[in-house]
Amino acid sequence: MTTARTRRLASTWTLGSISAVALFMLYLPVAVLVVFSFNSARTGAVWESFTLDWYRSIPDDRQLMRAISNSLWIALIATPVSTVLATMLALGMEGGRFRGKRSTEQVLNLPIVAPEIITGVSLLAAMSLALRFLNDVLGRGNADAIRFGRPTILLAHIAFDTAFATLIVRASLRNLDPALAEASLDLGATRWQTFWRVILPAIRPGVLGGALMALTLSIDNFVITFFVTGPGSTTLPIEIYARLRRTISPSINAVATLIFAASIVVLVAALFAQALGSAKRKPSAEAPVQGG
Amino acid sequence: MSSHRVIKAVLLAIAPVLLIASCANDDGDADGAGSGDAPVTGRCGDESKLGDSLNFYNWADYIDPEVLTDFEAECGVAVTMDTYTSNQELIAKLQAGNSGYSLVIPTDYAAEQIIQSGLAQKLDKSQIPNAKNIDPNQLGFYYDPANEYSLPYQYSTTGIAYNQTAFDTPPTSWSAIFDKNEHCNKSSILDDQYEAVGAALVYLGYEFSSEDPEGHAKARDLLIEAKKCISAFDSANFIGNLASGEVVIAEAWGFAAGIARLDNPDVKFVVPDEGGIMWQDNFMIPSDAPDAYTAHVLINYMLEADVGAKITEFILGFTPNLEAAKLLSDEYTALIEDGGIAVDDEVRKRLTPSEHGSSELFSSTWNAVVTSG
Repeated sequence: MTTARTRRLASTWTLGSISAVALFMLYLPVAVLVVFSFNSARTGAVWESFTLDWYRSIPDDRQLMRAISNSLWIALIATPVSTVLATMLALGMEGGRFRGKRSTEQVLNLPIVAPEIITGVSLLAAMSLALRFLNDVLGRGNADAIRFGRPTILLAHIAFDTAFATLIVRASLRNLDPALAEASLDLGATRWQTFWRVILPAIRPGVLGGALMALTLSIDNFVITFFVTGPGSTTLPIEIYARLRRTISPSINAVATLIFAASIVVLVAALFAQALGSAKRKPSAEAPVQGG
Repeated sequence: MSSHRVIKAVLLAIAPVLLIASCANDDGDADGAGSGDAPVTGRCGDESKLGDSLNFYNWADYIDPEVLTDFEAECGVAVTMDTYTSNQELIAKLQAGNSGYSLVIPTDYAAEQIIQSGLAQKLDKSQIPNAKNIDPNQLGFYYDPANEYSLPYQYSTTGIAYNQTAFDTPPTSWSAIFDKNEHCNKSSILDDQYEAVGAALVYLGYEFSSEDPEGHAKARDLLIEAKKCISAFDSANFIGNLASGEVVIAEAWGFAAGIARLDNPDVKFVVPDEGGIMWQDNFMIPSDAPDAYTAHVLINYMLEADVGAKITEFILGFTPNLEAAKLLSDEYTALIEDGGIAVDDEVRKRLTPSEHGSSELFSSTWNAVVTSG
């Protein structure tokens, strides 16, 4: 008895301390970054005094603002598009057997497995080919050619976002009892109604998770974006990287802090939405049991 | 056969998406260019030929952003600037073709490569009357002897930046970093195959661009020894480290020493006795530039005396523009002169242009250094 208890206690302690160290290592740099975004010193790791100047300077920095708006534009379009695609794909893949299912699966996993740099280079090659073809067909010259820019980045992001989001949606579909859909169809609902009223509510956490994943990946992506960017379409990660070459500007710390704060807000909102969803579902699911 | 058809089908399928999206993008990029009501100043060229917008590809942090907003207000051209952090990035973009940029700023050796690959177009000097302001000393370099394709934008040097409080007698030789470094873990060497290996070659009595195998073997051994002492090969954070005092001696660019000196007046710069490097960044117009005319106008604008002075005071490099040099502020002059950054005739004798040797040889030497235990 006592030995078992000590062992359990010891394992709890080890687990606890390892987690603490891991969390510490993960969040200490973020904490440093947040602190330094309020530091009036321009360079070095020395605390001078508290200031909000770096935050105030963000709106006046045209290039930074452009990078932020590019990143948001791309992420806010890529996320819904890839989430819808991912849900459709997941339903198709989990729903039935069809020719080419395995190869679809492999192709879909490619962007996840392949190193980003490979995806980037191949997208660059394919898209330049496509653009050249397009410019030839439309007879556009140097002055008005269609080039790399936000649209090409958007396409690239939708491609890898969809792959990751599908993975998550499929996972939640797999946990779904197929009897639910069968029952719904059996009781006279159309396939469409079954999807909206039964399947979608049940897999909502997965869809939401997929969307969140897509949003994060899109805002975050550097390597692939780097290859398919064009004039005026620099995204935030690329802009930040370019700026690091001179000295780490405190305004970059400020932007990073704001992004961190925004992601916490989004995360908390997503958790709330999920909690709300399951809270709503529970009573209705238990009702028939109580009634019976 | 069939794969050909598949490709065609895919291209046709995504074509409308690209087209629609590119049109949408065009609207978004015009961010508030007040093109209609720009006052005529005589610095904007022929307004009827001037475009509404221009894509400019420049080094990061390499222009006072005000210059571009001023140009927009004065001439009604909205300049979209993207930035790169290495010449390789720039060359890759140009080689991919159809980059969309009308003006780029390559460093000397990259300019040579761009000219040789046919990626640049000849400048129309009649559109750039301000070229007369340029110091003849900064023209006719090896990469473009007749300046057919390029005009100088800004130049600076590579030498040693140091913190004067850490030295009883200021360093005057590369040995202070490469050989008899007394500040282990408080020193750095530029993280670049040409800057690092080239400087080591110069210290050993060879040319900066030497391809002598014996010289490269010696430079490699020297750098491997030096690596044990320095805190890092670093071309990014050393400015901040110099300013904060974490690094007290570093191979550095003159303008970088200037930036560090803004925050820490103890930072000084020296071109070592064995010799330093002078490099120059240049205006160039890509051969497939969408709007070469407007690019010429912007080059001419940046060669105006007041604009040139503004650019140099921001970068803290040197202006090749003799008229701009007259307008430089006292603060700038004091920073450059007291910091030992200035190039006078005596220093100029010790500077070699950054002509580059074979990249295979330099990168194999550099790789041997970087991968050494």
